[in-house]
Amino acid sequence: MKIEKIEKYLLIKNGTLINLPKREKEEVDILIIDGKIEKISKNIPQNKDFLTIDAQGCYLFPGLIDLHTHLRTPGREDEEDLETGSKAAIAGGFTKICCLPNTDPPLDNESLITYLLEENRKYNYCDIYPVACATKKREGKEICDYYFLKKAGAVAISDDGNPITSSAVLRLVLEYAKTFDLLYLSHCEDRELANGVMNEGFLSYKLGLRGIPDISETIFVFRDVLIANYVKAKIHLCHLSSKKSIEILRFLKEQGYQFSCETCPHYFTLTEDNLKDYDPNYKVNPPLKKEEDKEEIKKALKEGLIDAIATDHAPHRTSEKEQDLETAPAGIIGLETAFLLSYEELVLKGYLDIFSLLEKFITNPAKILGMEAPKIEEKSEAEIVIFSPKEKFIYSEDKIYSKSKNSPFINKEFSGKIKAVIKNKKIFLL
Amino acid sequence: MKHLLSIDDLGIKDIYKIFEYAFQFEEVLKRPIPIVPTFKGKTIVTLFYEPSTRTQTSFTLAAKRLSCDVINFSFATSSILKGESLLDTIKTISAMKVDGIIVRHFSSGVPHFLAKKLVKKNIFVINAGDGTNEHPTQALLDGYTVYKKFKKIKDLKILIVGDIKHSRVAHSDILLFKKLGAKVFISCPHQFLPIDFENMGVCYLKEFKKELPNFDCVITLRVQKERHNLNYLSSMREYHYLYGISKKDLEKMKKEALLMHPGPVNWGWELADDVIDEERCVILEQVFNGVAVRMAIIFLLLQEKV
Repeated sequence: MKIEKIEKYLLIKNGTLINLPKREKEEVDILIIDGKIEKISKNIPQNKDFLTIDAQGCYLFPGLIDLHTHLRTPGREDEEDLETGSKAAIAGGFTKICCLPNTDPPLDNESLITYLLEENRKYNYCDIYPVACATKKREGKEICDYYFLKKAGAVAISDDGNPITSSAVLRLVLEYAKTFDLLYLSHCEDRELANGVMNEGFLSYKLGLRGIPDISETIFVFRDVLIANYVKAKIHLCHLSSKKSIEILRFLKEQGYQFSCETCPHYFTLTEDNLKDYDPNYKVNPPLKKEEDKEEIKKALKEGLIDAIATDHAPHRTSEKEQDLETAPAGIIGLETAFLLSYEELVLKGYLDIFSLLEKFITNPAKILGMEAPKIEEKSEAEIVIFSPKEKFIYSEDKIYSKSKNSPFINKEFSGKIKAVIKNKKIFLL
Repeated sequence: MKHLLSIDDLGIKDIYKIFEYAFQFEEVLKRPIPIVPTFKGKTIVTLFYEPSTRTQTSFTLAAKRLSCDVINFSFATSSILKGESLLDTIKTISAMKVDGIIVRHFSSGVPHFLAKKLVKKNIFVINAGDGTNEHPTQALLDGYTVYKKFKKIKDLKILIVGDIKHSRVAHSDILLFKKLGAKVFISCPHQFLPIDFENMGVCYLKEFKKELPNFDCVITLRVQKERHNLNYLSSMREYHYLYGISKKDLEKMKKEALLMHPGPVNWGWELADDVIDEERCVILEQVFNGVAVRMAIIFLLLQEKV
């Protein structure tokens, strides 16, 4: 990755601007001065003082937003830190990432939120949006100081990694969060049922692995949406993986229940069959499901039931991840592959057009977080992804920017390549 | 008025009558020998199933100032501990031919249950606090304290802050102040807000500190940790910052406004230590008024009986 400060003039030539509100593609040049978009029009004349990027055949769109990143900071900087994590984000086209609070110590007080935001200023590659703990130490018992957490910069609360087991505590969390209009991100998992390694079924039996029934997700999906709606609080469901959860949500939506939800690329590109060789890089939580679940997820993305695609970027050090499936921690890195995988699986296979895909990565996440949707327009800060849908890209291990290498997609050839990202008066050339 | 179970049982006239009598009894209380001989020989029982200092003392004193004999039953010393049922206790007490029972119970509805069981006995029941339901005499003394200050209650702006959902004081206060035509505002975190609070006819404020100059009276409620089976609040720091009153907040209030609290205060939570000596903070006046108001209530109930 070559990082250049945009000293004065930057000209992007012949790009295809994806105009999301209008759902139109326009052939344009974009002139950026001091990090601000000065002009968007056809045929902006070149000048030898300009840094010029040829974007012929490339899509130009705003930076992507990830609702679900684990930055491992503070506490597990051996797996990821703000510098490597935000570089990985940029490499994947993300300019805004929500970092989840299952760190050590967990983000349950405002000094840690302040620390993260301060620390990120040192690099200033992408913006980070901390998600604070819903309960102290993520124990599911006592609520945190949501007012002070929000004031310090927390955009949502979650005990991600842990469900809130007690319905009474969850209700309290949601009611207190509602007081400050804070969003709750729900990790849906009935822990007592979900005592296993992979999806439960004939395959788990055949492989001799402890199974996790798919309903362990669905039960909590149902419960959490009901409780949130009962107290009229805002809820977002994280990393949905199963057909049954989708069916329940489809029913709830028809009944008028309010919620938003996301899935992750691995749930519509991989299945439990990938675990046949006991490769720990296919161990994720919730676990990979069957072909029919994968198809249902794609269907739900298409019909708009699933609002967003998040990475659930979960870095693990090789020595910890490369173990037997029982011992290996769940989770894979995803920032660098999420968009490419989604483009290939959803756009190229005809489930979504490029506009709808970008809505799942930009417009909807912004809406879920209560932010204005990022736009590429004159007078605004330049935050642009230059993506070539034609070029091939091989995701080899030496190209990984994350500190951890736990990806099942290493050496995969992608149809499409992120060429450059412009953010915070810098251009990142990939 | 046969019993005092709920503010709902009182008409506006009844309330002002209680205030009027309370005003007169206040005069009595200020005399060197603060006793009226009217009800010599009448017997009142206080039956407290929950710990209380101020309410039980206040009632005892009020009854004694009216020359009644008072017998105090409290949870710690009575046969309740031996497993006597509520019904047996009432039967026993009523067999002793008493005139009135003042009851506090941790279960909502107990005073109503008593009144029903005593319907033929010519014994009145006063609700001295039942569960999370009502505490009508507290509301009456709160109303009286406000009335004395402003000479009216209609159109005053009353703010109640704290655990609206679990507080019997808030419940009775809201009923009383609304009945008398005040504009009632409430503020609290959502877990302290009753579901469907929209039906309560009060105005919910998400934040109230900026609006402090607008209120005539601010009633802060006790954080009732003893009632919560969950830890309802995140911290004293955050609760006090958002819903507590400090001297700085008090100074934003009108000069003639009142700051009240039903007691006992959790200092540092609802109120900061530095408000205690402020003129606008009338917690001890509430306690004094409580005796006069309870005298008025006992007086009117005994008079009705005669």
